[in-house]
Amino acid sequence: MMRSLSLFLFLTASSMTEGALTSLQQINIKTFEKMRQVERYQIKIAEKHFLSGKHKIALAEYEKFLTLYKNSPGAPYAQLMWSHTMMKLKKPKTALRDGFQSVIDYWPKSNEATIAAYCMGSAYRTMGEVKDAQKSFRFLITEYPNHEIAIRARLDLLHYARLHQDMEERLRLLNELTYIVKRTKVSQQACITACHELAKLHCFAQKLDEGKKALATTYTGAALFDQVYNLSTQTVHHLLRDPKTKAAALKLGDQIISKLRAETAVRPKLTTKFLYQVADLHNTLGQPSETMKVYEEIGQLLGVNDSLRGRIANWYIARKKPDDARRIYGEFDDKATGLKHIADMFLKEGNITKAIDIFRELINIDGDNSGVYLWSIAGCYEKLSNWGKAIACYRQVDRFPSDYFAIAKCHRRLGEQKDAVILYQQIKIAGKSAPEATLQIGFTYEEAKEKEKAIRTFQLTCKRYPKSRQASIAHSHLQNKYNINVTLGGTEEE
Amino acid sequence: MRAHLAIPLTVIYAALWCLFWVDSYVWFRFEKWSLLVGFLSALPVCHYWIRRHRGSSIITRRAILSISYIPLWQLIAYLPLLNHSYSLAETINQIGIAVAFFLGLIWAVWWTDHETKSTPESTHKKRIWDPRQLVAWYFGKKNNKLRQSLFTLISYTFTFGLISLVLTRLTGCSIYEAPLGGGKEKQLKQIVKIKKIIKKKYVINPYSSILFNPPPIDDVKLQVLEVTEHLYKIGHGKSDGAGFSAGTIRGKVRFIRLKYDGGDWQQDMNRGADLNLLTEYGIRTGHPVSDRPEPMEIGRLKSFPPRKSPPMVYMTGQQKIILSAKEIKIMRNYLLECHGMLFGDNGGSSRWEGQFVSIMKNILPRVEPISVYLDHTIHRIPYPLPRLPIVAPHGRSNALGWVVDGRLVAYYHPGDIGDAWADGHSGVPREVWESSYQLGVNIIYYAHAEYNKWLERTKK
Repeated sequence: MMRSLSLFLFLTASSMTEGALTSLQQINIKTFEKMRQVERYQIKIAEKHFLSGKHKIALAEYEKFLTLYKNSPGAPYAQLMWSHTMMKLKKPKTALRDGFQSVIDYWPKSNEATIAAYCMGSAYRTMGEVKDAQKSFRFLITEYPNHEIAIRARLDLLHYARLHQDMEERLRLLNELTYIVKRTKVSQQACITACHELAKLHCFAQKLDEGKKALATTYTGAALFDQVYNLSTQTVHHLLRDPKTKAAALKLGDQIISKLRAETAVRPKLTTKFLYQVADLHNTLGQPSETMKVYEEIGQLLGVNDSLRGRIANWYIARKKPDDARRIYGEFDDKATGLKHIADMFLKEGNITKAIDIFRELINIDGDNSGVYLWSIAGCYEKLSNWGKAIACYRQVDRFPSDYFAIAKCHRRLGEQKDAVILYQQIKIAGKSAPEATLQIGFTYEEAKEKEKAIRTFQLTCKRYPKSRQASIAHSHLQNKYNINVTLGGTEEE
Repeated sequence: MRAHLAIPLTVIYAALWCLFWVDSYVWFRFEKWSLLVGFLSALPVCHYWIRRHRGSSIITRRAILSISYIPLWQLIAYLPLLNHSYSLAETINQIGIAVAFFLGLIWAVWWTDHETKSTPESTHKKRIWDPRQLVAWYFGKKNNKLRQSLFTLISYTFTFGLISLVLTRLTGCSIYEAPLGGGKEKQLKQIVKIKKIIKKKYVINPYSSILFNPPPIDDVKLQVLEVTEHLYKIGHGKSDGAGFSAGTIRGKVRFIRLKYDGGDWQQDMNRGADLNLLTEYGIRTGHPVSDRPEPMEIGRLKSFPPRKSPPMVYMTGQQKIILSAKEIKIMRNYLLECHGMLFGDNGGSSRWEGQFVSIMKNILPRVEPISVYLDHTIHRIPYPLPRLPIVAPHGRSNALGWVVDGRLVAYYHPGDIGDAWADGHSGVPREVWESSYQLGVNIIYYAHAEYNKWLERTKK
């Protein structure tokens, strides 16, 4: 017992140090126990390379294991890992033919053979061989119904059923996962997701009871009520899309509202939440006056707070009454938040000057976030094409390198390309932004009509950062505008 | 030439010229030099008619000049194609269309005016429908000359547009035939055979009075002979020579590039990318290949008869891809029913990748893309590729594939492989452009081999 525990701790500790193996890649603790020290060492060396992404070396190490210790209890695992390494090297066909199949052929009764059987299906899926993959998965479900891989196989089949819009297969698999599969630590999450999907399908087909039944496999009591509510609202949205099912949506909406109101009596602590849900449902059903009535009801029952004020303001905005909305925002207890909403409203309406005034007021009220407001003011000045003032605002914000990029952009608009280039050169110090800065220098030279310098900079972008997005842009730009075919070095991706 | 023979001979010639014209845009059967001869032959014919009517009326002379414009314009538009300047040819064609429009308009206006003047005014009081008469009821009572001119302009523009639409949408009845032959799907590899030559050993009496210069016993010279297995028969099926068992003697491997709206479909074509690859394919596989690449509208894919369609079409660019619902349907039919394959090459932006993938989602909604693995046949035969060659990374670093019934129906390459095929190879190192050619050869071969398998399988 102690030996097993120490082995388990050793395995866990070693896997924690260098990433982690998936459940399909982990060695069976009993197998590991039976292995000699030298064999364990060899496996750990191979695993280390596998986890650090040196797959070619890992492959050689697993091969070494198989050559030296072909009779070891760890041999099937080494063969399995060899196949996983082949998959990592983007060679699923070889992994399938010479790897997973060999595990099944040489060690048919081992635990690894079961995993290999699933991996074969998975490899077929990677290769796009849908029919073979489906065949493998179905075989696994029949052969190992209670194994972890059967859950995985079901999920894979479910993916194909969704893709191929095979409703019959989809429902069959979802029913199996919801009602038949035993819920263990491994299968639980898959079963929960399946029950949600099944419930949704039933509800969208207006079989609400069936949907509730599916959810009841996972939830009870208050949690079930909440889940049913969520699903019902989704159903209402779905039914409202089609004019033919609109009446059904309205009927369902009314039923949910009455249930929510009844629930307030059962769980009085959650009255606010339920009333907000009622208000939202009225909104969804296109009953705005009812929504407002509910808001008033909440106000009378529980008092008015910023959350309620925000909802009321939104209600006014939706009714195109911006002045009323601003009035409500003005009543906010949290002045800064209220003013921020007002400024955003002015911005949306295109009233930039008023938005600037509000942001300035905000700096006085909420000095801690002055940087955010200054950034917004700078943005406003940019919209007004007042580049000088925008620069002045950006200079007061400490947000490197975004502020430098923004200032450089303003300089370019002012026709001060030299200043912009200086700023971009400074940004280049920040390694991550260097490709973008270099690319922008190219465009700045182009604006300054310094064609040769621009071309040289674009070429430099391609040369220095060949694998970046900016190199791709520079490459295309050189090709399109200057008819220059520059190489990005040319790589051969493994 | 006798006058009575000139007209029927010219009519026969015109029919022949139309044949050449249709071939150059639709059929692609004739050699490019025969087409050039065909287009050039219009020069003496035009010259004859212009000379013959030197003394005729000005109208006749202008009419002959106007008619001569069409073969001359087509000749000028064809010449850049000999040098693979597809963009220039396209520009000439567009300018030519504009000139043809205005020439036609001048003649339409002249004819209407001439007819109006020569048609006697109607005396009866019935409604007049004849547009040649200014008193036609629909011209009204005021400004009827202006209205007649407008009517001429509109009806002429409509007719011209209709004819252009018909001609540009010409699909004809194309046929694609692969070269006849056979071969096996196997990798190309070099074999080095080492032949040992063991020198004869002499047994020498060490006490002999004769002085010998004995060779060292262990001095065995190795003669290294490189034997390259370069006589591979690349193809598929059982037949003589390299090729495909379901092909024909006259069959050739062709490279068809899809034209589409919204983007620069002709990228790198002017720099000989397609032709270079096609030539390399011919040299490396020994298959007869076409002497030019073929740009083709998507709509024309449906004109190929069953079992005679191209096994592969190529698509590249870096801007937008706009495909109509009809074109998507044609592509779907081509990929699934005609057993075709689409080879997409990202010419320069990650946006193009997104668009290609989204177009593929529309074409094959029930097929999800896979990352084409390195030990896939397409990456192994005839050239085993240890890595995916990338000229410029415009997005992902792996190739995408869409598999239907175990066959790749679409292959997407993210790294502007066309740049490496182009003249000068866009400056990429030798090993990258060599791998790019190898990948190109593999893709063409894969598509043809799969098509051949299908033809053999479904042979009646």
